[in-house]
Amino acid sequence: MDTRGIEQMFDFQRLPSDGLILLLLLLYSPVGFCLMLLRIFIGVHVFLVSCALPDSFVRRFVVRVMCSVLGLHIRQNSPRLRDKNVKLYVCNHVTQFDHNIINLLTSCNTPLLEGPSGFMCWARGFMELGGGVASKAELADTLRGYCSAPATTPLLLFPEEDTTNGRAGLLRFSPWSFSLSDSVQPVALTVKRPLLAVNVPDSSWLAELLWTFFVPFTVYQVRWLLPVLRQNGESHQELANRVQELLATELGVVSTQITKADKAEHIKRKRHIAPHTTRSNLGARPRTVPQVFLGPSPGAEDPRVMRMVHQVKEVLPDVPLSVITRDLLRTNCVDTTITNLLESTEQYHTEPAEGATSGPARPRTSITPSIAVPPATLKPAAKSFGRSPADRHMSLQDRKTALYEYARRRYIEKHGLNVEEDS
Amino acid sequence: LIAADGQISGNKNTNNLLESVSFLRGPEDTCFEGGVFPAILSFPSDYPLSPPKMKFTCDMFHPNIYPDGRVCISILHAPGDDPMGYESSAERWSPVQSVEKILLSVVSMLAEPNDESGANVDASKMWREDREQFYRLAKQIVRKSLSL
Repeated sequence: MDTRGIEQMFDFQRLPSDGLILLLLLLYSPVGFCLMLLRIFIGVHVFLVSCALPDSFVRRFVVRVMCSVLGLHIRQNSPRLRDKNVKLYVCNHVTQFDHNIINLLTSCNTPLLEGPSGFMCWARGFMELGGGVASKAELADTLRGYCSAPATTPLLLFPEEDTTNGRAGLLRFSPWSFSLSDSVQPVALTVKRPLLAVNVPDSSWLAELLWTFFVPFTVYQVRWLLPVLRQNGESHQELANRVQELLATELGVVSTQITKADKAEHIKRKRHIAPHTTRSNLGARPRTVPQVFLGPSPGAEDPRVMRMVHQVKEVLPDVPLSVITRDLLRTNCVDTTITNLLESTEQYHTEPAEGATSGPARPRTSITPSIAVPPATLKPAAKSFGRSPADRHMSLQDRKTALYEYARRRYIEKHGLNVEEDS
Repeated sequence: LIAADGQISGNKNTNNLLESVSFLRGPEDTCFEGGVFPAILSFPSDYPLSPPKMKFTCDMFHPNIYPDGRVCISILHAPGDDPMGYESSAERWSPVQSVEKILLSVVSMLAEPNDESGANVDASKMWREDREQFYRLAKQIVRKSLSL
């Protein structure tokens, strides 16, 4: 089994776990603080210079040199591979300054997907999209228009939509980025930094910037890959998967099906059990997120399977995607999977409340199916009381559907009916 | 929201808190086994002083369910009114009864029809005289409820 779980994809602690490095860090910290103060002032200058000079080779060179004073060393290999005709660069996401780094190598634009536009958006080097862009579809439309316009600078997108530490795996690439253009140029980015983690989830960009100033240096290695063209009849998702695979191979990591939402969920869960958790029992404690998440599970990329997974997820929102996928790959039928999941006594519904009260010390025996659970508890009951009436109604709808599916299945099994014949 | 022995129940819609939809599963080893029967529980404005009313929204053929779906069961009758005249007040509605209990009672009523207080005369008659035919009809109703 692949031991690299979702835990390995993100650094949850900025400080190193090794005692020796921690000692070194302690010794370095006075220097680091001085360096940070100094660099804050230089940083203001870098910002002003980058504002004053027009976007050109000169500015990029000057700012790049000034950035190395700030501790941002940028290396790139094979810049000749960069294709002038490609309008879309896709890059893996490691830190919150990835777009600034790439921008120092070539001029490109990155839209800010979340957060308000305005001064901060502009100052951080994001492209401002005119007007309030409400939905993702609207955003995609705007960007598609941008891409098709002649003589514009290329667009740089991060289809992972969230950061990883870049050492274990890539998040699932969202297909909408690939709907913008038929040819994309993948960019592989590795970020290395001594003493500290390059990025921790849930920290603001300002904190990240200060830590960047604190450490002696951070090395950004940018590798340009050959442009990828959409093949005939290839869907956005297929193209996304292909590019993800390419980038993962280049970086020496695995491409996973973990999404941004899964990451957020994991962080939330982590926060609940964090007070009890120490580093040492990370390995011993059974993970709440099954490791099946990781690794290119065969057929998981198949859009048909994905669609079925989503259908099941709608009915049983509590069951993790990985469990659904595993079962679906075996049964290849939405109904059967729902029945299996309803009938199986596996308790993957690890609610945050439970995690908070019991803590990791309590061994989770729930992985083993227990026969003792009476069938009544298998019925789709609401796990929580929804906040809004609409939520509650949705929950009722879902449970109702599940109940009907279950009853129908049972009836058919019991009476040996043929559905096609009778319906 | 109640989950009692496989029944689920919830508010039918957001603007009417006095009506609730329940889905009852036919009890095992009876002629209604396997069915899922939707029913509306309507609560009067003076609930819980007065009992709620229950009405199946699917086709039912049962001695204690009126042809229009209303359920005739002692727990849903206030001690004062007694349409049939032979229900002990012990098993009548009282404010301490819960929706869960009602659903359980209705499920057990599905399992064991009480042919003395016949709400559906045809069904009572058939239950008494032609049990086989009744089972056949019940089976059809179960299938219909699952839209099979």
